[in-house]
Amino acid sequence: MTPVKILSVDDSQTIRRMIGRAFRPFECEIVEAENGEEGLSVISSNRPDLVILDYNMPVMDGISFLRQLRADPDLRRLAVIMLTADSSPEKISIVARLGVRDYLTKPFLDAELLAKAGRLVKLVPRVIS
Amino acid sequence: MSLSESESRQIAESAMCRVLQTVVNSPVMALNTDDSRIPNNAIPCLEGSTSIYHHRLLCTVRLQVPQRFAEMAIGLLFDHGDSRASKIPASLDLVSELCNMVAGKVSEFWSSQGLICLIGIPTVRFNPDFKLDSGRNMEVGRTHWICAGHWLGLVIETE
Repeated sequence: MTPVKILSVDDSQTIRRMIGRAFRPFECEIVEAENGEEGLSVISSNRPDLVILDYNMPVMDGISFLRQLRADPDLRRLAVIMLTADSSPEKISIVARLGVRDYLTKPFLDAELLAKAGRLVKLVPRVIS
Repeated sequence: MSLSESESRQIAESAMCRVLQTVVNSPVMALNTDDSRIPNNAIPCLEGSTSIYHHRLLCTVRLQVPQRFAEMAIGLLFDHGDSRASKIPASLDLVSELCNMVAGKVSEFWSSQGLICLIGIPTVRFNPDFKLDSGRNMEVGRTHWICAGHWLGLVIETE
């Protein structure tokens, strides 16, 4: 069975590691990018099933990344969970208009992330041999 | 636009409790300004700083964290025994992200007041002295905290 592939796009190594830790009990392949530009480059060679995307990043932020993703007919339906430090309704409505399937406010618990991801991709527990 | 001292304290309390209890999974407690656990000598710390922008507001959030706290938090989060060489960049990144999260909670307060703000990219520096040079900003709220036995400082400035 092919493991679910998750792309984590965040300039913070701490957040990328927290995401990796959350999915460790599941059959997942986690790929990482430090900003939107790097994320688009990863997607072109290694298409994920789910993107966990930070809102605020240097080089290319989450909104610019999403606009480019949605402009590509092959990628416009790719599932994205947005991570924001600030859950103001205005920001949430901006990301919702760009087709984000769900969002999570930092800081988040592993269980919150897994619950949202589990609604978008099938998470299969890792078998420990 | 500015914050009263009590507003600043309330925002700081809500932000610090939410962020530290979730990330470090340790209780956090506000200290009174005369508490003996507030360091009275200069202690080196990591200082994360980020700005929150609106055309009617510039707000700066500064989070001060001893290096040992950052290393402990990384150990708790990732349960690893990395060498000190790899702990330093990891500590800087952790403090940057904690500062970003606290700024997010402060930004939510401004949003509730009708000011939709942008949050800047945090920067982190080694500060050999926990005292702050507040520059041209007016310091509105400095608060002190204890988390997992370590002192932490938070300043919210508005201009």
